[in-house]
Amino acid sequence: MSAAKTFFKPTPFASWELAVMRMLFALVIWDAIPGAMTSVAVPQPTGLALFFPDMVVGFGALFEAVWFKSLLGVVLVIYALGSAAVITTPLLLLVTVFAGTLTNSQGAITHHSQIVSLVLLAQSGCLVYDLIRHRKWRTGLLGQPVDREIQVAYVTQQAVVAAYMVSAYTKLKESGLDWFVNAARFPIQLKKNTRMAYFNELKEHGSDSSFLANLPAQAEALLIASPGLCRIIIGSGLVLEIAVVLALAGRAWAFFFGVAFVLFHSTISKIMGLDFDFNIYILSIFFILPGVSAAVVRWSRATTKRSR
Amino acid sequence: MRRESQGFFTKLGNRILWSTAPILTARPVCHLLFIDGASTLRQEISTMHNQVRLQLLGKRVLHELRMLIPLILLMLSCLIPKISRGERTQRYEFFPFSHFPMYSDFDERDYYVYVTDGNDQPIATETVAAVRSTKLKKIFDTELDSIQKKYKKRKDQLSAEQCRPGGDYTVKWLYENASDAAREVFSTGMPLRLYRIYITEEKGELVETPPQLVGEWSPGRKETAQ
Repeated sequence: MSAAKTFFKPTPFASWELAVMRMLFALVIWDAIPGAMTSVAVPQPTGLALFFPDMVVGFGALFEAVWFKSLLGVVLVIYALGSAAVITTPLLLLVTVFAGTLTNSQGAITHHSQIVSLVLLAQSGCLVYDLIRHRKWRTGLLGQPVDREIQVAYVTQQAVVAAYMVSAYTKLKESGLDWFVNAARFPIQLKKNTRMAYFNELKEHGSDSSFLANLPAQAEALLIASPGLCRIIIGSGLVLEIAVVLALAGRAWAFFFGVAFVLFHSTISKIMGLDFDFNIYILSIFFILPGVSAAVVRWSRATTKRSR
Repeated sequence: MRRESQGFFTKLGNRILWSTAPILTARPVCHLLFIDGASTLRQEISTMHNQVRLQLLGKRVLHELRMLIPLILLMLSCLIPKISRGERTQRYEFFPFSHFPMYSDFDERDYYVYVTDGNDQPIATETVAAVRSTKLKKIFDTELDSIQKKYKKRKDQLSAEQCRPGGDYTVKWLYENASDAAREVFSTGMPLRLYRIYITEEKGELVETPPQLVGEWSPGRKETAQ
C-alpha cells in the first residue's frame, strides 16, 4: 500500500545527499569523457553524424587539446558544486553525445557510456523545462534549489529505468517468451566471448590458478551441464528488467533493484569479460546510496535516542 | 455566515449521503425502511457512484502518469530510431538512444573472428592496435548486413567467399585506424587476414568449426567488390 501511495513521487532527498550524488556523478562523467579520439572519419555514420559528419569528426579532434580538457574540468567542477546546472549539464551532454556518436560511427556499436549521456539528457531536459516553466531567469540559471534538484534526481532514476525497460521490451519483441527457453544457449555466447578475449591479447583465460581467472571456464562448464540453471541465472536479468519500474517506488525499492542489478552486472562482467562499469556506478549513486544513507540516518538517530 | 453554514451542512449532508448510500440502498435495508422505488434509486446511486469512482481513478492515474512523462518520453526516444530509421542494424542507433539489442535473441550458433598475419599466426589486436576482437566482429557483422541483402540469405548461410568483401573491409579498417607503431607491426607480416569460427552445441558439448578465411588485405591491394 505504501508503495502505491508513493509510487510516482520523487524521493525527498536531503540537500547533503543531493550534493554527494552530484559530486560522485561528476566523477563518473569525467571517467566517461574519452582521453583522446584517433578516428578521423565516420565510415558508418549513426545519430548526429548522419546530419553533421564533419562537426562530429572535428569535435573528436578537440579531445586531444589540453585547453579543451581543462575547460571541461572547470565545467565539471561547477556542475559538481551545483551552480549554473542549466548551463553546465547541457554542455556536458553535448560533449558526451559527440564523443559517443564518433565512437559508434566507426562501424561497431558500443553501449558502454550510453547510460551516462542518457542520464545527462534527462537532467538537461528537466532543468530546461523547469526554467521555462517558472521563468525565474536569474535564480533559475545560476542557482539550484533543492526542490528542483530532487526532481533532477528523480528523472535520473527514470532515465536508468527507461533504459532497462527498453532492453526488456526489445528482448520480448525479438524472441517473445521463447527468450527464457533459448537462454539455455547462453554458454555459446560465453564461449564466444572467452575466445574473443583470448585473441585480444593472445592470453588464455585461466592461465593462472586464481579463482577469478578460472571463473569463465567453470561457469561455461556448469551452465552447459545444467540448462535449467542457465535459464534461472540469465532469466533473472530479464525479470529484473521487466519489474524495474518498481525502483521508482521509494528508497527501499530503489535499493533492492540497485543491488540486484549491480550483482547481475558484476556476475556477467566477471564471467564474460563485458564492461558494465558506468551502469554499476550510476546504480550505486542514484539507487543504492539513498537506501544506505537513509539506513545510516535512522541508525544514528536510534543510537542518539538510546544514549539520551 | 448563513452561506458558509449552508455550505458546511450541504457538504456534510453530501458526505453522509455518499458514505451511507451503499448501506441505505442495500436490498435488506430498503425492505426494512419500505422505501418506494428502492430498486431504481439503488441503481441510480450505484451508477453515480461508479461514475465518480471512475472519474477519480482516471484523474489519479493521469496525475500519477504525469510524473512519469520523462520515463515515457525516454522510452519512446529509444524505440523510435529502431522503428523509423534505415535498414541496417547500425542505423537503429542514434546515440544516446538505443533499443539495446544485446542478447535479445540466442541463436543456435554464433561466431567470432580473429586476425592473423600472412603466415596465419594470430595477432593480439588489443595489444598491438588497441582494438578488441569484439569491435572487429561488430564491424564485420555490419558489413554482412548489406551482403546478406544482396544474396537474400541469412548471415550464417553466406559462404566464406560471399563474406569476403566484408572481411577485406574489416582488416583494411584495422590497418587504417591503427597508430604508426601498430602499422609497423602489421607490416612485418602482410597480408592481414580475417578468420571466422562458428560455435554450436552438439550433444551437450560446445563444438567449434574449422577456421574460415573471410578477409585478406594489404596496402596497395584492392578490396573484393561486393
